[in-house]
Amino acid sequence: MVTETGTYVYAVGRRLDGQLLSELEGVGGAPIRTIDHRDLNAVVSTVDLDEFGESALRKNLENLDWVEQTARRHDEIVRRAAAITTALAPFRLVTIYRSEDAATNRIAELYDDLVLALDRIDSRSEWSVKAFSQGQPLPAAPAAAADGGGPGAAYLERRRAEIRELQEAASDQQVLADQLFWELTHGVAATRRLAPQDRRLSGRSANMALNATFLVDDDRSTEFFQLVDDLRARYPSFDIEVNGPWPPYSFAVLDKP
Amino acid sequence: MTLESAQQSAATGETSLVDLLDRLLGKGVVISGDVIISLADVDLVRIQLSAVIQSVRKEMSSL
Repeated sequence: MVTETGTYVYAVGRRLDGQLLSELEGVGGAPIRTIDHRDLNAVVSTVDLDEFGESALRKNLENLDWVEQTARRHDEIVRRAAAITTALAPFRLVTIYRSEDAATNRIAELYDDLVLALDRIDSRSEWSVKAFSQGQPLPAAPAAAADGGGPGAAYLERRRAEIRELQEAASDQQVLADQLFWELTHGVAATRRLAPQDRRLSGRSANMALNATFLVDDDRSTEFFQLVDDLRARYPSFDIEVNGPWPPYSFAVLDKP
Repeated sequence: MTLESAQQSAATGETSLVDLLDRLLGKGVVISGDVIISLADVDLVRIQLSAVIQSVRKEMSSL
């Protein structure tokens, strides 16, 4: 029986030389190739629908090992392609068409939007900035005493006052984090705020007050780092972490989805 | 991959899986139509993944 296959699309770029990527293996192990439409080149590989078909994907996307392996391979391919062009729009994880023709047709239909998206990210990279505060996690507020008196009432009142203080401190941190974010936007091409990551996933005991990402001109990255350093000095209550450059995952957005 | 190893990779400077998924699941060019499956339709039920997915969804729904 012949295995059915699909076409996995990693990214679309301008003037990509597919030969330079042909040594790479895509997700599932098939070689990387490009398919071309006018001046755009899509970076693709063939995938078996046994692994990447609809029912298989539903199962595999719930398997963190599989998701990690696929995400890392996808990222590797996108980074290698980004290294040989200035304009590369990464696609979302597991964007798979039923055939190469279906992928090409879709890219042809969206040609104008893709060109606009590529113009916005040309010669720019994404940088992640997170700010961690050392604040305590907020405890749950105890329920009010049922009878409003007795020896427990004084304790509860004290406990509520403590929690109010912690909440105020947390809200001060949030105001500061908002202010830090706006200061970081000076001179950047675009920005997005992501939801702060859960402590269990960030692996940090500190609270993540800011999870933001910035699109920065490649020839202005030095200024951006300088800005971050200045802000570290001015916001000593935050531990500020910069990470990148990323391919412009958060900014390769089509106007018409 | 366990939660512990996800945390380790976050702590050691290797690209953190959470940072990667923040970007790969939520953003990137999204082209629907003819695609085999849309991530938004997938019910990702694993506990380990749920926090990542929730944070990504929250962000997407605020757009």
